Amino acid sequence: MILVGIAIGLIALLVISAVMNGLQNAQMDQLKNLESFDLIVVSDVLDPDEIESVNDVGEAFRFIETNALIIDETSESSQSIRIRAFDGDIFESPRFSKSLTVISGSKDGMAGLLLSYTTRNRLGIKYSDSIKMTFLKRGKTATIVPYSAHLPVSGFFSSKMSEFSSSTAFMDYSILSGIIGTDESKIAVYVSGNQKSVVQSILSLDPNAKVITWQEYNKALYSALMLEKTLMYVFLAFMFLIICVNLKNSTRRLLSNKQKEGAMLRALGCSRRSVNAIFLGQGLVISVLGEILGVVVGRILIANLQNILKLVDNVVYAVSGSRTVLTQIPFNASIGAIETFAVCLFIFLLSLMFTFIGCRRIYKSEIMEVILNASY
Amino acid sequence: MHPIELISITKRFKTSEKGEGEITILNNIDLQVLSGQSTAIIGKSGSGKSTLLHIAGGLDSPSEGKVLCKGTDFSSLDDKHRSALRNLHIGFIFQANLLLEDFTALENVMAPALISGKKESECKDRAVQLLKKLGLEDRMSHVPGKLSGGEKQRVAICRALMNEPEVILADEPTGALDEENAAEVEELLLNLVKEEGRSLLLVTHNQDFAYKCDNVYLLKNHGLTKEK
Repeated sequence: MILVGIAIGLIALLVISAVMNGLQNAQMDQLKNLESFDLIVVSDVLDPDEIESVNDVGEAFRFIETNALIIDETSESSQSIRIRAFDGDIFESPRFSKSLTVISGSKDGMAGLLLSYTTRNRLGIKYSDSIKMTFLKRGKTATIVPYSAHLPVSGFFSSKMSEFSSSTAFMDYSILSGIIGTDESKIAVYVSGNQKSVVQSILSLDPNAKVITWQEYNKALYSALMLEKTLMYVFLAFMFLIICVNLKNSTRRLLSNKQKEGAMLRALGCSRRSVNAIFLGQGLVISVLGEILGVVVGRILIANLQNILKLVDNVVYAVSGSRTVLTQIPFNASIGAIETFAVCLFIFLLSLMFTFIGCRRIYKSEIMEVILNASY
Repeated sequence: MHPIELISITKRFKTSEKGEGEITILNNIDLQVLSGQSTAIIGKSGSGKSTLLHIAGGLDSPSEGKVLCKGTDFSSLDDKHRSALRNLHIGFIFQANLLLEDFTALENVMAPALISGKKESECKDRAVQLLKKLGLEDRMSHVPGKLSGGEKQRVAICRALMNEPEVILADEPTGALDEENAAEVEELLLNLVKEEGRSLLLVTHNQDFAYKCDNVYLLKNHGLTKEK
């Protein structure tokens, strides 16, 4: 019974940790794929090819971005938006295309603006509508001057990040660079290995380069995610407490039987230490077996979580006629080896502590009292 | 040298956990368990019979006095050596079927010998021999839950005999048995004394059983008086 209790406690902790990790990782992946990339490099001397030659760098793309007010000349509705233009086909990049899909129109030879479906719906824009863009550009006499351009809508995209979708549009690099220049161009970098070593390698190529990591770029959000993670651990700590109470109660129930066995063994000639060692050994074996069972079942559940959620969703749909949100949030539940080990270690220490407390009670109990109690 | 000798044994219990008051259960008791003889202690419930038996077996310590087992004072030994002495020289039989519930009859009987460090094969042979002798050859692989009250008590007797102890301490061994089984167990225990020359210290309510023993003592008013 205690073995199953340990296993269930462990399964619950592993699955919850994996789900929370999955949700956070999904959010971070979207951020890194679309918004901030793994690194953004600002350098006067480096180009994307040089950066791609660095170890552990997957891909690198030069890009420029600017803010503009866009007005749909048909519906006359307007919105401020960030326009990004990439030198190179980032839409073919596996990581970029994993998070962003061009739904209609084409991103090839973008002669116009590629807007999100969110923007389309908000402004009532139709395909090949003319969009008036107003933004600030560097002037000859004044530092910056207002500038207007007219472009057709070349297509629509959707992404899994609603904030990104509602605030971003894409256009051709050559057109935008022709308007605002390339002075403020940056290089988006997807890292395939160790981020820290890539940063060092880039800085060794150009010590004056400015390298912004995704953590720095999304500082506010990253802090919020870390806070969320901390709160998750607080929440898990409460779960640990509940498991503690369950373990303590199970151990207490078992203890009355064990006290009788202990007294019997003592009467047969076992010393206190030997009896203690026997029960501690039993406790250890139960803990280890419970943990093995918990990790195996937990891992199987985590690996098949999406299927299980689909099944639950189907059952709920069959019963209530409405779908749950369980399958609508894309995430891959995952838990690392270190986290698994930490959770296992905690549960192990916890069960060991209660076994030890139980054994101490057996150790201290008087044989005669236990035998007399068992007799009446 | 007597297998067990109690010298001026006094036992007091605290009446509260804080230890404010004490109650005397046994007062200045002397008793010798003679070699090859059976000794019975009778007395009312709560008179301290079981306490005296447990003190005699080193399961409890007296408040005053000494318990000698083969001439060795229990109180002079640490827990490890006291346990070893108990394991080798004393066999216990209790009223309640104090068998290890998860173990088979055979394993229960083997337990004392395994505790003393004997080889498993050696222990098994001896345990099988004992169980056969007491008519339990068909019950060897049964756990206590599958045995009748009489069978459990016979397993307990086998277990008590496993290490061939000089003295058997039996606390109400027939208390939980029906008449037929009780008579069987009585006969078995008394035969052990007669045929194998062991000593028996018995605590019982059963006057008939007690008076079949060589010596009978009455425990009354915290003291022992010889009845037979």
